[in-house]
Amino acid sequence: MIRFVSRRLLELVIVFFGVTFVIYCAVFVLPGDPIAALGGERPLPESVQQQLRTQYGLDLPLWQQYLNYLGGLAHGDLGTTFTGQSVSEQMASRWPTTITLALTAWTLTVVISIALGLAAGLRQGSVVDRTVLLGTIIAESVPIFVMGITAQYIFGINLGWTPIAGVADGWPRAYILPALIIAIYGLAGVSRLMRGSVVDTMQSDFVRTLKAKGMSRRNIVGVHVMRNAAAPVVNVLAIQLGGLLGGTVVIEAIFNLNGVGQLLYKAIQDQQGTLVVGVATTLVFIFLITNVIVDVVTSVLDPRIRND
Amino acid sequence: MTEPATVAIDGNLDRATTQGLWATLRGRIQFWVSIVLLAILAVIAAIPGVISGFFGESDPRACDLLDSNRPPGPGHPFGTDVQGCDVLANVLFGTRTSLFIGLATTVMCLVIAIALGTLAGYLGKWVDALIARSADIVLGFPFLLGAIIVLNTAPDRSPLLLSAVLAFFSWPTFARLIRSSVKEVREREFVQAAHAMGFSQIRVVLSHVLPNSLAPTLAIAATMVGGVIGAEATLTFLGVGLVPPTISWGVQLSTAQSYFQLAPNTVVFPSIFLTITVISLIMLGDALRDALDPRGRS
Amino acid sequence: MRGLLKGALAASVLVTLVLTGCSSPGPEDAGGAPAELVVGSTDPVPNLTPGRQSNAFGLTLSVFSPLTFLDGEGELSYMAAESVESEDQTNWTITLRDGWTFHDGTPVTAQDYVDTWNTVAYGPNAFENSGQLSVIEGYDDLNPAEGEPTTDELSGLEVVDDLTFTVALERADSQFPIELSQAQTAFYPMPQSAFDDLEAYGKQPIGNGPLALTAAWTEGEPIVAERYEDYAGEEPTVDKITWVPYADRLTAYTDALAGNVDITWLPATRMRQVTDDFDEDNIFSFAAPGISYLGIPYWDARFDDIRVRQAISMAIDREAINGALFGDLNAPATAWTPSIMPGNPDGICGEYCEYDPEAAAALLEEAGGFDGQLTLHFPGGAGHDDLYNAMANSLRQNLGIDAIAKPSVGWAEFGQDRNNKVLDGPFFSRWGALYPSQQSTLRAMFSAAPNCTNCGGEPIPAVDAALNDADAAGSEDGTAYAKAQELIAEQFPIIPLFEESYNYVTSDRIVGLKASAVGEPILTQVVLAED
Repeated sequence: MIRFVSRRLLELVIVFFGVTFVIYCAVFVLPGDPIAALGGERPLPESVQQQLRTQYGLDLPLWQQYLNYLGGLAHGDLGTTFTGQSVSEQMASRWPTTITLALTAWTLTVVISIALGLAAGLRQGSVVDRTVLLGTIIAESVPIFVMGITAQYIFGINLGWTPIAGVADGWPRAYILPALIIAIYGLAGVSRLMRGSVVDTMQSDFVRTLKAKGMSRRNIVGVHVMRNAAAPVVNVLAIQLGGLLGGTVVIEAIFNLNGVGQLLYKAIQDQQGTLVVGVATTLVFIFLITNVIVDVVTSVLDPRIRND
Repeated sequence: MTEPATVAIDGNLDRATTQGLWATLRGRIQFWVSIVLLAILAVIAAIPGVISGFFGESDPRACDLLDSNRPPGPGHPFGTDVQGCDVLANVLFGTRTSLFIGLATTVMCLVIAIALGTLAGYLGKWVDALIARSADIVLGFPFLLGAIIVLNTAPDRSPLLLSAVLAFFSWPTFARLIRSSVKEVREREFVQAAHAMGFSQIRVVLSHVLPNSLAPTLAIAATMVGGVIGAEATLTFLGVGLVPPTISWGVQLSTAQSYFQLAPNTVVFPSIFLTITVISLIMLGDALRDALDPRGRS
Repeated sequence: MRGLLKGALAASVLVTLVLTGCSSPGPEDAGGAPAELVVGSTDPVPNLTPGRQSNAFGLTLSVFSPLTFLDGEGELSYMAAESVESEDQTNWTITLRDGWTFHDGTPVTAQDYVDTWNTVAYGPNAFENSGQLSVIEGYDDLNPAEGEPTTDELSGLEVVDDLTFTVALERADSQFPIELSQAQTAFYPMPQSAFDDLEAYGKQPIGNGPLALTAAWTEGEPIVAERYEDYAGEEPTVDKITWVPYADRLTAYTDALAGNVDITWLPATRMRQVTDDFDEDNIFSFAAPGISYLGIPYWDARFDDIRVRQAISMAIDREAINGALFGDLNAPATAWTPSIMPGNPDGICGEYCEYDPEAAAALLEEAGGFDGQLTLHFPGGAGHDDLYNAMANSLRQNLGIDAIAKPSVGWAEFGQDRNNKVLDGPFFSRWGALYPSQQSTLRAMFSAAPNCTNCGGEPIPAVDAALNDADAAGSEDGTAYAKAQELIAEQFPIIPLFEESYNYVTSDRIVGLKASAVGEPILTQVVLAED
């Protein structure tokens, strides 16, 4: 077990450096000069631009810039944007929002999808089952931004149940609608996955054996079915969480939540290289750590996967 | 992105079961509904101009600004968009692009995912580690960043390029599932028996491991097509997907969403077509999966 | 007995609460209650230092006061300055008003102004707005093309006494007093304490205006400013303003619909429906000193013939676009500067800015047609898509050429392609002047040293001479600049599109809103509803 975990951690380190380098190169492949673009329509005086370029080392070759960046990283310094703001400060101010949003959405996904999946799977073929199936399909088919804008209009403007935008109202009022939209989108597939998993497990041999042995349905479902049905679901849910943290751009934009997704998107548009690299690297790191944890948990649940 | 349905593996897929597949399928109404809907969509994708002309305007690019954002009326059964173009014509022409992207992405993605997932699951050890880590890198790479970079440095944003980008970022999810399914199958008795009987690795993979992992995968593929079409809409909304003059539902929705209070028809009709397409694909996928899984058959 | 006592106690507590609730002061209370305003805005970039800010005009204008002020009618008045005078349009004497103080209590002196202007202009400081000072003698020494500057003081500035200083300009410029007005924020003074820590100052600037910041600015958080009791200028009508940052103007607009902000910008995509969403009284539209163009890639031989450019201009139905996309808020341009500028030669563009598809097609054919694809380039992600798609459709249908609109991903890519002459078709172009004088736009676009690289089309040498003449002539009515526009009209280097407007939506609490001559509403003079 220790070997398994330590090997995964080593792989994580390798992957991390690989990814950061790729991201660093990728950002500098983007066309356009970020310093020249700083002023937008009213360009900065040439002398100011030159000054900024020297200040940020943009006239150095790529490999040298990357090494400087890594050196900074070793000291925990993620660098500054081209407007002089600290990258770590920018991220720090946004993480709480994104984490709150992601965790709320994820919790909603887990709870609702497991409940729906169980309900549908245990009553395969019934009205409940069909409703869940149809509902999840429809939920998945509508693009997330259409759902977001419509929901904002109905619940925020028309009904006034939730604040239209911003985090001023705090948790949970300001987060509940955006988190729900994200959750609906995510739980559609996971519900069906859970349902299918439950169906398969219920019809498997060992469950039939347990039934034959006279174990109560409650016991069977609560312990054995859940544990076996959960494995593929855990896998997918974990991937979702890692992706959630960076993938909430659209919802953050619509509901004016000042999160990391928006930060990354704006940074890409403005070509703020250090900001993009800093945010992307952090997201990658979180994702990789989550994966290691998931793999460990899954192998605990299903020993067959552990041995390789 | 869509999460695929379960990849349930059963070791007992044999000829008798395969022949029973069609029999099973044709008895399900789900299957027929989805096939009929998809057939209609295919026809629309083939001759959008003719069908559109039948109802009103046949040219999606005949736009008159003075007719901007009109509600449904004579000559424009779905109304017009902000540029004064006929919504119906654009929706019908968009079917072609959206279906193309959905299919192209899924095909490309599955080819990669099946190849890599099977290799990883079957061979294990360093091959598995390499592929699994590559999958991690791709999955961990912020989708937006990667999409913008590739689509940006390309001379034009063609649907094919967009499909390739979507496929590139989708294969890890499927490869992972196929990998764990293949791993599970590998441990089963019949595969170990085949090994014991001296069958070569390749033969075992091709005739035993792959078919068992494939069948449910095809069902997921149907679902995936739907998800991809939605993903294209989102990318276009964020400004990195398709742009006019390409006609797709994503383009229509991203323009229409600014005006949806003023002219809801511009959002509603493409959304309806999008939803129906995705629903029929998912229903087809479900029908296939249920039919291929003998335990699910009643 | 106990129950009754409890009941009585509860009742009296209840009554007391209700009474105190009724009498607690709120914004609706006419009796001396604080007048507060909530403004929907965007996060300042990069910070709040006047010499650096690029998008926090409303805040800067509330926390600082300019030397001169241009009101909505274009009249120049003296605010922090008592006078700005010159005999020869080149050497100016600025006399400050007495009794003005910064928010930290220190008096505003001429030394403060000179020190600030030197700091802003000093190249290594990399202040974004330093270009506004380029007209002052000595600017080039502080911004050498290579190497470090040899001095950190502008040779053209000299302190005479506490309230007076002189400014020597590089060349004669009659518009200098106008250049000192409210939107050119590089000229605002900073107190001596600022120079010790410019970083911290950027987060919480100490100004000389009617409101003072209550706390340092944190990115993404609302900014609050409250009445500065010792302000020596005109009393503000509000006691407190809160600027709430929004990532997206649409979200700010939606919040305004719900009544959560008192005033915010009207985004372009809501121009059509704003009359449905808001009462007429709550919509304010001001003509802005901004104008948009279709730039011409003069390095592409297909656009050499003037008739091609004129044909393209005639094939665009500006009225229809204004109606369909802008809710009739952006008037079609008829000259190369907007009509709000004094002495603007309206109509100088003539028939070529009028919609006439048949004449356009004929003119294009006369010129030999157009080869290949006509690509309209514009920066993506800024809401210009509908306009450019509409124009591409017009050109395609009216001129029969293959016209498409192509967005870039962001400004950086677009700017670079334009600067490097890579664009292969007409492109997005606009100029929002910071003071209402034709000089500002014409110099920025068409002079020999334009602010907007490659925006003015094929350079016209005679224009530069005409502009210098106009600067020296010293006309407040702008007619001298119209002469320069005649030259431009003859050559037709780029295509004028629309005059811009600054539009705002407000809550019911705002009854009157005035804009200054740069289109920015004067927040400190807003008229709030009584009771």
